Amino acid sequence: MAEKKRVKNREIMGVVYTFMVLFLGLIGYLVYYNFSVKENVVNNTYNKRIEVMEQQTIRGSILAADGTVLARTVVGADGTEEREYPFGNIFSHVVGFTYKGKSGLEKAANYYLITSNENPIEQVKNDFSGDKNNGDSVVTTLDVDLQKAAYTALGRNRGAVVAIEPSTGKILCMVSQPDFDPNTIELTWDTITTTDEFDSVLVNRATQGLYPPGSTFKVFTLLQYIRENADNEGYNDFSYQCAGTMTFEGISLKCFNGRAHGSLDLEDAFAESCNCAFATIGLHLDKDEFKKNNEKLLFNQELPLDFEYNQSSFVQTMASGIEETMHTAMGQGQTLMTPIHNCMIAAAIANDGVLMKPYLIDKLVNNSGSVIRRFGKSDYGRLMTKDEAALLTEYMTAVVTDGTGSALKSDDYTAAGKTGSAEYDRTNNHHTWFMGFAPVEEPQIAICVIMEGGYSGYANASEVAKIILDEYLNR
Amino acid sequence: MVRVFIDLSKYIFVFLMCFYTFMTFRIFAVRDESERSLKCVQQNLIMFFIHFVAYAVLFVSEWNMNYVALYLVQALWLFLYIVLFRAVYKKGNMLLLNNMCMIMTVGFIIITRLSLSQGVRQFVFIVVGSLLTLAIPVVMQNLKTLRNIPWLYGIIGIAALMAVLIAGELTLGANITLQIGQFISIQPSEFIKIVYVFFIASMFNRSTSLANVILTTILAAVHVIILVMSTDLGSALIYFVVYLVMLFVATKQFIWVALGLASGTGAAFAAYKMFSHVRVRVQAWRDPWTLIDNQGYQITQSLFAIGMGSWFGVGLNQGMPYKIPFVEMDFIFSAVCEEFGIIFSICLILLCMNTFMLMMDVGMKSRGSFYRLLAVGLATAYGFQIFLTIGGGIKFIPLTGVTLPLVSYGGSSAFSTLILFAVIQGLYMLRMNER
Repeated sequence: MAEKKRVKNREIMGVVYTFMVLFLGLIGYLVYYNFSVKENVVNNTYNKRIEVMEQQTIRGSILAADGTVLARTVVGADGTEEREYPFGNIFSHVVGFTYKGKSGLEKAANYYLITSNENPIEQVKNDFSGDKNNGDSVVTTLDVDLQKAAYTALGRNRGAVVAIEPSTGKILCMVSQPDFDPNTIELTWDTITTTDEFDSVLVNRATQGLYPPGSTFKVFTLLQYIRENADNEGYNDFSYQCAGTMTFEGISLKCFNGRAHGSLDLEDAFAESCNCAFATIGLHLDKDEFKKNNEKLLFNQELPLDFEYNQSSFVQTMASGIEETMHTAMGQGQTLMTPIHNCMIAAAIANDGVLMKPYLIDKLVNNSGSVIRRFGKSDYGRLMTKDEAALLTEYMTAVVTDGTGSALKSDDYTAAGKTGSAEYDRTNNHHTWFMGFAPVEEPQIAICVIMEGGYSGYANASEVAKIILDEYLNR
Repeated sequence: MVRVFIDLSKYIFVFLMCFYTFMTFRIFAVRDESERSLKCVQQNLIMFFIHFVAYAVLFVSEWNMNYVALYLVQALWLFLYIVLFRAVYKKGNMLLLNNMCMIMTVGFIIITRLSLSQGVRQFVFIVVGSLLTLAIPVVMQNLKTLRNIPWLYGIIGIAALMAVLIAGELTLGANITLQIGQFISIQPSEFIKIVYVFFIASMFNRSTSLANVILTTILAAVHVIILVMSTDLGSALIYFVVYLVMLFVATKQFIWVALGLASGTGAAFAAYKMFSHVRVRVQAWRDPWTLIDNQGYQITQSLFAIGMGSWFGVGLNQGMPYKIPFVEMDFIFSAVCEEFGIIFSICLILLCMNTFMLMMDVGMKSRGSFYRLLAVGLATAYGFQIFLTIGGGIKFIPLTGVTLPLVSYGGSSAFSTLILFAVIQGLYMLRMNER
């Protein structure tokens, strides 16, 4: 009888188990949501609950890696709260401000700053006395001295600097010019947001500025050429005779300043940044593959970043004409790139081809300094093989030792990189770029500098990069 | 001081709810009737305590005597109902009764918190509904012809659903409710759900021959198609799943389920291609953030609510659940998450799951395929509706817009769920009487 009954109920048991799986799925998803998804979700201007939390908490501080205060809330005797930025303009974009929708870390870390993990006894005391709880503080990866050096080196020139530790993804400094003083943003808001002469001062050019990559793009063209001619290291057989100008099917272009580079192998062509040689290479590349590979190198893709940025774009297709193909290969054309993207590529090359996810927030500490949460490094994935990274490193080292990057030569360390200049109008104005890393043997810093046209003081981005690397590596 | 009490109450709620849920699963395993009965009384005490603390919080934070009045009436009624039920139906399932009352209590609290006037209305619905449905187990035990009138169920079901569809077409309004007079609007699909289960159970009780299965399938499909045409996708899905499960249990042929799932998937795909409102729901599920101003607004507000609530909730009356449009109906679970927290909400899911298992258990032990199928069908309708509404609210699955039984605001939903519970109680008592 029992046997029969069991058989009879087998179907119902099957239904019960199926539904239990569904219910447990709901529970599992809720737990997963609260553990890993929620924080990115709730920090949203559409979430009005955040505004209430802000009023109930004293906003936490933003600190540099060594604990130096970058932003803090000062509570006056009468209870008024004021946000204070001790470094003023130096950290303006990366730290941001809390006015009108917020920006920078003030925006990205908003939820952490208004969440209080103060010890419970303190919180109960605050409840009784009616005092507000203290929000947690955010300890960033930023290096104060390096930021200052970068800020000074860039000067009043429009442009951006960003540096990353290749082995971890820690963002060491991030400067954008023109800048603003977050302490007085409320007073200057109307002027800087409406007057043309301030030229989008609120935009963080390091993460949001889209520039033609100029010759720094030759890194991508080179990598593609190496990949397509990898059999028996066929790329070593490359040779080109540069006359300073070239014409192909009626389309002419010239090297920088019309300089004739003479007889070149691939390394020379890259080190000397020969436009004619790279335009010729571009004509022979498989366009589909080139686009596909560039998308794996984060063009037209979301970047693994937890703060605002713009996507770089690479648009060349099979339908593109000869002129566009030649220009694209040497970094002109329609390609647009953000400095942080270029820096991530340099960092990946420096880290044997593996990109570490760049991050700004290292840990959260509560009011009494106890660590609430550590973020730490995470691996985004491999952008190129170890051999490809080694080869690019070799070529990029030649740029410094024998080519256009001679400004980076130093007695104290070796550097690798690629320079660039990108024309942006017909009057010969150009932006200058440097992307690279140092020391070559054991990279500690990857850097990208862009200086917009019309700069003064330093000759170009390479010299700015040199000053920053000196500060970091010679201390 | 008030603040401290509210903060403390969060933890009281979570602790009591965990304890209650634990007891529910313990009692589920206890076989001895007197021990069960005793433990059930202990459970009631916890329920009354949660109810008391919740209304105390509402009272001190709003400082409105109406909350005290509503509390007293609700507590008195809950007490009387449990006593009355136990007195009338000595052989009723006490654990099922307790689960029902506990889930109902959570509903009372959260709806009153959202709107005092809705809280009062909902309470009236439930009082009337549960007193009326008290008669159902008696009817079940005495009316043996219930299994012999499949055609009547079928005709009532299809006619009522068609009436909604046509009325909806005429007024160009929502196709889900039927307006009677000025004040009463009912949602027939909630009630027809039960009639539909009776229909299928009585059909399969006759025969599970191929001809009869095909005939039943066609008639069940008519129900589902009318619901799809009324854009009542949630109900259509529930009806579909209920049919599949009942078919499987009746025929014991897994091949039917496989065929059903395959055709269901095909139909879902066709619906996705054909109806823009289906596509919109899927889009809003996959990426609500780009649609945050329109179709994604509800679900993103719901996610904010759940995220802000975190494990222990922000405290009763301390959050902003009212930011979610239609929170009292389709998103009531998110409101519970926000103010009572995720741990409490998980307990609520477990209570619902336990209730579902109790219903299935009644099905397993019932004699005769009619009663077995009835219990299985109703349990499936209940369980799957919970999965749809909670899953939709937390973005686990696309939103279908159904209510959380006994927690959501709404007379039709509450009343039909009370009928469902009463029928299950009736089936349970039928079995007990046979012993």
